[in-house]
Formats: sequence, structure tokens, C-alpha cells
Amino acid sequence: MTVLRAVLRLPTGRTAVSILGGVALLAGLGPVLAPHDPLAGTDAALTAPSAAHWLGTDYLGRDVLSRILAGAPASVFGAVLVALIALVVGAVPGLLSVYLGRWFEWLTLRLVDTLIALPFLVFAVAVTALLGNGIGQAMATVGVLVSPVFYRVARAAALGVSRSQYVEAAVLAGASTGWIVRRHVVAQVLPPITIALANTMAAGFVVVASLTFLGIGVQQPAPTWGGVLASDLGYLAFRPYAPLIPTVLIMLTVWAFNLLADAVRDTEGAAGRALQKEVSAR
Amino acid sequence: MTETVLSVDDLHVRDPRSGTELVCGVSFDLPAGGALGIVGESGSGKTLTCRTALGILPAPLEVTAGRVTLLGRDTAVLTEREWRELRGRGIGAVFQDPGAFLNPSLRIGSQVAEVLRVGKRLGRRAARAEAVALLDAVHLRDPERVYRQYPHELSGGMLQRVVIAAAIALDPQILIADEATTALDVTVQAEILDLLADLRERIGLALVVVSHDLAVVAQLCEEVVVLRDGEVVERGATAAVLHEPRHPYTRLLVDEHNRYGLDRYLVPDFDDAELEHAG
Amino acid sequence: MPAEPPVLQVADLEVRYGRTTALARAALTVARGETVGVIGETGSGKSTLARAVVGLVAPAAGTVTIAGEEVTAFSRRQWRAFRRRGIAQYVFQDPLRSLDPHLPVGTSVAEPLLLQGRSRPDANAAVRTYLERVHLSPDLADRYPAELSGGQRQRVAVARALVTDPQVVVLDEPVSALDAANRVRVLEVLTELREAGTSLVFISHDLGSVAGVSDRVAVLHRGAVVETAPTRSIVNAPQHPYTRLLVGSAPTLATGAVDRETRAELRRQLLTVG
Repeated sequence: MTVLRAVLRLPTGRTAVSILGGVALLAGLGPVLAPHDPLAGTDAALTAPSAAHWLGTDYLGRDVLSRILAGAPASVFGAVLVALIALVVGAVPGLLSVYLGRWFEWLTLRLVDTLIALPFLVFAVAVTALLGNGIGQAMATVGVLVSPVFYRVARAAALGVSRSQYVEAAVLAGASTGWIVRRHVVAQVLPPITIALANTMAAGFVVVASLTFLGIGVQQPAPTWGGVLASDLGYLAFRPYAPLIPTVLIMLTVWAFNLLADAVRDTEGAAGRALQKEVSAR
Repeated sequence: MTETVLSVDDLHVRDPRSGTELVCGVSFDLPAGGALGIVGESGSGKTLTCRTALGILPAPLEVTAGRVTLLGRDTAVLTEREWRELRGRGIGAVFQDPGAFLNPSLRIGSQVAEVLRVGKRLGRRAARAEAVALLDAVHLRDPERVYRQYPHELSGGMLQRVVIAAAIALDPQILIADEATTALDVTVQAEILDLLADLRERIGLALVVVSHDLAVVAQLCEEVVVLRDGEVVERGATAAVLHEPRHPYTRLLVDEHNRYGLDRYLVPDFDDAELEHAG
Repeated sequence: MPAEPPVLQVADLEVRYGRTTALARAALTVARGETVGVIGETGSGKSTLARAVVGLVAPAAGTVTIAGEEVTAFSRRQWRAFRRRGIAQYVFQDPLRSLDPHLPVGTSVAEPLLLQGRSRPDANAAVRTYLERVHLSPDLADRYPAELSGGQRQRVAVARALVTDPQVVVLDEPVSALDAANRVRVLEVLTELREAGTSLVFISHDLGSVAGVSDRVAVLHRGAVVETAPTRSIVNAPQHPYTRLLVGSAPTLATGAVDRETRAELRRQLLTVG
């Protein structure tokens, strides 16, 4: 993918991809790498970092490092789920709304308007109350609520392309609508979708952290970064530095996503700006 | 001996940001009532030269050498106030897009009249009368009606005439037409060029006609200067330059007309009997 | 000698946009290997004619026949199938807009071939051949449109129109957006096409830019074809008042070929003729 190559050429892109790569690694290998059982309490509660426990222990004597490592998949999985659901629920109707005629367009636009009006965090809490605890349900709901962004991005890109002269040229060569979507619309849609994806994953990450912080969506004592943060705050007097760890991790990840979004925008921007310059020089 | 109304002597214009010279030693003289053509494409320096002669060179571009003498005065020493006196009264200009110079929310007539009220201190009624007269002078049919219309109601050619009317409202001695007809249809272009030639005859207006098309310049101008990349690559009497172009660039332009243009077909004695016609 | 069927035939064509009639009873015939210039100013209907010929706009009346096949009443599916045969091709005025900015130019040029079902390596080889035919280095296939000059882009657009070996190519203002050097390059390519026997139809507002490459000229005025004749005749002995004005207005190096008085008189005539 040329977009990826272009992004990697930028220092911001490289930074973002490396950080996110690290996070993905954590998510994949975290639980395996955990030196201790994250659920096993010991008598040594609230100890400072030591050789045995690199980040110390929490109020139940559990190894913090292991909890962080074990909690990584939940957070990452949650964020990715939000983004993917938002993508599918949003982008597909967005693209189709340009080609399936007036009724479909009207229907989807109104649905999108409704979704935007709902506050997603509150809604997520409500849904979890209804459907019971489980990160999957909560994330799926958030995904649906955030999908309007993808709808709009996909629709705008498809509209722009469908009115362009190069699509007319493709039509004159005998292209069908499917061909045009596959070859021309996708190319136009990919950069803004990638940016939206990066931003959504960042938001999803924060949402997971917020929900787990509130104790929603995950049954204790399963470890999550938000959950760890919550319990750390409860014992601030004993280990004042403790909240820093999950916070820094969350912030770093979110920052990396935003950096990635910027990098993608910059690569699209340079090519787009070159084009703009050409056109205005006439 | 006719006086020289505009004299550009070894003009050099530079862009300090990049350090590149955009106009490199351009010189020409325009006699009173004369017509000079500047042939050049985008990037040749033709527009910057015109803007220097009008005192509207965009910052940060600067004149690094050379002199522009306008109606006997060295423009380098002119203050902004003196420039304002000179523009419109001594020298006027029309450019490629007439729509960009007219306020779309105001009627045509009031915009032309405004020039007269500010420039000649005419009262409202007198300005109106003279504005209508000007619209008539640029061959707009039914000038009274045009006076009341808005820019969007007029075609490109009509708008260009309005802009010309405004440009000559204060009786300048020189009119610069920078690609004034480039965006117009061929027949409309001919109308505007004919108008300029007519104005020249009637009121002794000296013309500087700038175009990328050698033939446009050939129609109107006795002298022609060919610019490329900021330099004058050829100059001389139009007939001579067209007949015997010396620089390869000029030859390219002449050849193009001769090979692909109408000139290829223009035969002095055409035999009507050869015609096979349909429609 | 038995006449070969014309490669393009337009008869009695009428196109309406809402209540305005853009084209009325337009007729045009292009023989095999012939090049015709369709000249018209703003509002003449020339763009409408070009678009109607290739099926981008449906006529209200009349017929369009391409290479012996009547295409006027084609359904979308029929048009798709016909277009994939690549018999008639179109070159747009502005290659910056007619080439997908996200794709390398080689991909755009290959598109008609891929739509015909050719394999990718096949198509890419053909792309290289045709880029050379328009005097472009085949290595440019990997570049993006924004990286090329205006003249190179226009030649890429021409190459795309040639890959299917069309019988007729319609070109909309092929050189108006280019500078002198690039104009000459493109006109040279078009001359070579003529010599190779491809029929070309030029749409232009400027007779001067396409006269040298046209065998015949059709003049459009207010939606109707007012005169059709060999180029030499149109230039030297135009009949219709509008043609005479058009020819008289076109700038030529022959200074003062048609003088102001004559033009003024022709304009007056046209106002009455309408």
C-alpha cells in the first residue's frame, strides 16, 4: 500500500507506527510475557518496585506489571472493535448511498443524524446495563454510535469521485459501477478513512479506559488498564506514582494514533497540494 | 518627433525569497499613439513588466535594476500619492478576467460612474451621463440598459468592454491590455481587438498588447517584443519579425501558425470553381 | 468505387437540456480516415454534440451511427458492451481532471484494455508501446499525473484513447490549455494519427488551432451546423455569414487579412440573420 509507504517516509509516521507496533505486540504477547499470575494475590500488598515486581504490587498484592501486560489485550481489542464496527457500519452505507438511489440515501442520512445526536458514553453505559457486562457489547454500541464519521467520509469521497471527469473517462471505456468503485472510489476513500480509523481507535481506546475505569464492561478481577488506574487512584497515599503507569500507556497509545492520523493527512496533503498548485497556475 | 509615453530600460525584477530573477533586462519604448505588442507565455515576465509599469508589483518582488519612465517621469521616485494620480489618468490597464475587477453586487453603471466621480470630481448626474457615453464609446449596444445591469447579466465580451470603459474613463494616454482577450471566444476576441484599434484611432490611445498569441499581437501592433523566461529574445517591426524570425522560439510560434493555423490555407488567389460545399 | 460506410454519422440530432434546445437538427458525417474539425463558440452546442456522439447525453431526436452501428437508443448495458469494444474513444480537454490523480498514469492508460479482459502483463506491454507512439518515455507509466507537464499529460490522455485501436477518436479542445511548445508536440502526434488512418473529430472554439490537422470543417452556431466544407474552402471562401465572421475574426499572421469594416458589417448581418 503506497499510503503506508508514504507514511513511513515521514518521521512522525515512523514514530507512530513503532509505538503502535509496540502496543500491538503487548496486546498479542502481553499475557504470555507476564512474569506472575495477574490474578494471584500475595501478602505483599502495595509494595514499591523491586526485582521480583518491577512495578510493585497493588492493594491485593498482585503484580502490577503482570496486570498491565495481561490487561493490554482487553484495551487494544476494545479499541480495534470500536473502530472496525464503526468502519463497517458507517463506510459501507456511505459508499452505497451514492449509488443506490434517493430512498437509500435519505434513509441513511436520517439514521446518521439520529446517531450523532446520542451521547455515546452515556449510551454505552445504558446498553451495558441492559445487556449485561461484557466489553464486546459495550464496544459494539460505541462503534455504531461513532459510525457517522465513516459514513460521511466515505460518502463525501464517493460523491467527489462520481462527479469527476476521470470517472466519466472510465465510463467511456466501458466501466461498470462496481469497477469504478473498486478502482477509483477506493483510492480516493482510503486516505481519509485511514485518518478516521486512527482517530476512532484513539477515541475507542479512551472509551475502553473510561468504561473499565468505571468498572463497566469488564468483570473484576480481570485486569484492564482503566481498571488498574481506578484501583491505583484508590490507594494514592501509598503509591502516589502508581497511576502514572497506566496513564502514560494510555496517553502514549492515543498520542501515537493521533500522530498516525496526522502523518496520513500529511502524505495526502503533499500530493493534494501539488495538484492544487498545478490547477491554480493555469 | 513623437514623444515616448512609456519607456522601459533594462528592467530587472527579482524575487528575494528564492533569489531568482523573473525579469532580466527588458527594454522597450512606446511612442504616443503607438501600439506595442508583448508576446510571451506564463513565466515569461510579461505580466510582471506590465505591473511594474503600473506601479503594482506585488510584494515582496523588487526592481533591482533598470528604469521605467512613464510620461516623462521616472517611476522609481514616485510617491504612492503621485502613483494614484498617474494611474487611470496617465495609464490604464485591463486584464484577463473582467469579472474579477467588478463588484458583483453593484450595478455596472455605478461602478464606471464611481471612477469618474473620484477621478474627475464629477457630480452624480454628470458622472452618469459620461458613464453612459463611455459605455457607448466601447460599442455596447443600448448603453442605458447596460448601465442598470449587474455584472452577472453580461457576457464575457461585454464585461471586458465595461472594464475597458472604466480604464479609459479618465482619458489616459496609455492602455495596457494583458491577455485581455484570452478567455474570450474568437469572434468576441476580434470585437475587443477591433475596439482597441478603434480607440487608438479615435482618441490617440497608445496600446501595449500582451498576449501569448503572436497573431493577436500582429493584428494591432506595429512593433513587437518577444519575451521568454524573463528575457527579450526578439524585437522589431511586426512585419519583419513575422517574416524573418531570428530566435528559435519566435520561429516556433511562426511555424505553428503556418503549419497548423489558418495561415496554412490562406491562398492569395482562391479559385471559386474548386469549391465543393455542403450546407 | 463502392463507398465505405462512414465511421461516424450524425443525422437530425436534437438535444435538449430542460427547456433549452442545445442542439437542433445537427448533421455530421465522418468518413474512414478523415479528420473533421467541429468549430463553435460558447453556446454553439459543440460540447453537447461531442457528448451525444459518445453517449454521455441522450438525444431527444435524431440518430448517431458509429462504424455502421446505430447507438442512439442504446441501453446502459449496450453502451457498456459497445464501449468495451473500443471502437470510438474520447479525449477530454483537461487531462488534469480526466486522469485519476491517485493512480499512476500507466494504470489509467491500461484501463480500457483491462476492461476488455486483457491480462495485466499484456495491458502493461501495450501501455509501453502506446506511450512511445505519443513520444513519451515508457518509464513515465509509473508517474502520477501531477508529476507530469501539461503536454505530457495530454499525450497520456491521447495514448489512453489509442490503446484499443479505435476507428474514431473525438478530441475536445485538445491543445487549448497548452503552451506553444507542447501544443506543437501534441499536434505532431495527431498528425501522425491522421497519417496512420485513424479518423479524428476535433471540437474547438478556435479554428486556427485545428485547421492544420482537419480535412473538413463543420461550423456550429446556436445549436445548428451552418456550414460544412473542406478546410481550404472554409478558410478562403466561407459562405455563411457566421462562418465568414469566424474566419475573419481568427487571428492570423497575415496582418489585416480581413479588415475591421468587413467584420463590423458581418456582425450587423448576423444580428438580422440571427
